[in-house]
Amino acid sequence: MVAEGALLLLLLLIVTGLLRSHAEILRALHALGADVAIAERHGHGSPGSRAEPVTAGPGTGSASEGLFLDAVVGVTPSGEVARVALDGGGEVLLVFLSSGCRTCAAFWEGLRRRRPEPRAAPGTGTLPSDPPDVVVVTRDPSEESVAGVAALAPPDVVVVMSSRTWEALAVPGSPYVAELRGGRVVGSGVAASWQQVEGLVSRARADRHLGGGAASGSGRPRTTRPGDGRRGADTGGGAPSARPISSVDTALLDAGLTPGHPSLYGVTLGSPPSPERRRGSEPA
Amino acid sequence: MSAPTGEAFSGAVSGSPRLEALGFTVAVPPGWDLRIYRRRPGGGETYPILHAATLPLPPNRGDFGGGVVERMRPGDLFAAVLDYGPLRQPTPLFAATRPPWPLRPSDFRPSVLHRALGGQTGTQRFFCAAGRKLCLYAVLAGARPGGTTLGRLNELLAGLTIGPWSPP
Repeated sequence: MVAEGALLLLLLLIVTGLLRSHAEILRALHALGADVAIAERHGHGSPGSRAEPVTAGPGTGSASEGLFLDAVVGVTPSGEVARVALDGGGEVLLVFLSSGCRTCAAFWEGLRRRRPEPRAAPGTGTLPSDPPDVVVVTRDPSEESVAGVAALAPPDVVVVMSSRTWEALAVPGSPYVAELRGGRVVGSGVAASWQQVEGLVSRARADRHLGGGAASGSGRPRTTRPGDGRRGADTGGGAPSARPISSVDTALLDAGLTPGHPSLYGVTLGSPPSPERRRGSEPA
Repeated sequence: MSAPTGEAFSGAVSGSPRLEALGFTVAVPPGWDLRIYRRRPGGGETYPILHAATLPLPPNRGDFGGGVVERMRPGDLFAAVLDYGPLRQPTPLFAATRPPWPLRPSDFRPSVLHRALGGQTGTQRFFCAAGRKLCLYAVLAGARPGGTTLGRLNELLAGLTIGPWSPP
């Protein structure tokens, strides 16, 4: 009887120790910026379908940079065979999502609420380039729930089921975003929400419009790692990083009022300050 | 206008840039968006449709390019090949037994457009191939179909092979 009690006590001690150890590991991972999410499906999962674990934090986004991809080829949730051209010269954001991962839900929702910018008309004074086309890429129907993706797919966003694209860009998990220009991967990484991605992209475009951003100056693509709030896009001017662009900023950009626009400085000032002045550097 | 909802594609999507589905095989030139689909049969039978464009094709499109042509800018191209079902007996409309490409500038007229938009011209040609009644509808945005623009369209069409198809 006494031996049984001692054995029970010993087992309790072991279990308690294991639980504490597990909690410490989770705390350490959280401190490192990694989010361990239990992948769960929203139901209707097809046999063999799988949910992608969430990956986050630095170090996941550079593997595909510089790769060239001419198109996303696959099927849409509505059954179309699709080829989405990436080599047309424009900018494309490939958003890799699954129907089951918890963080992806915020992306699907953000994309649904997104207000697409119109294509820039030639000769207008707005931003010089078209807004990036957004293409959501999930895994093939054999690995993903077609009904689940169809239910989540925003009505005005192209969704293509293409495992081959995941493999071509070595996508580590979902959610994951790759920015391509003319088919070339110029940036990639993970983010917490679609709004965060939009903010980073908007600022990058504004920087390029000014010609003062790091990306525009050298033609060198930038890597965005919005998953790590301390290491957002390099704005080239020491601006706060990874702060989602505000709705006011977005409205101003939509209206063609980019940083440094003459109307922001009044008519009596003459010409607007140069980008260098705006960034606080001394005039030559 | 709604997103085409049709039969799930059952075959493999293999060998980019060549796409094959529903009796269409396309060697897609660079820069072209392409979709092959068939609307879900409702009251009657439905047949395959191919869409191709040099601008991004949105999810919601009309069979004749509604939702696409409004967004076209000078130099943009849209083409649709629509299947009207099996050719059971010759009809005057589908008398042509060869695909109508390569297309010439004189084939394009603004009056052909299903939706008349400034600066656009179009062509619509009926023909039969592989026992299928087909229609090619193409729209060019720009003052007049120039050599380069038309050349891109003819390059796409030259890579299109039409094979037999019948409803499952």
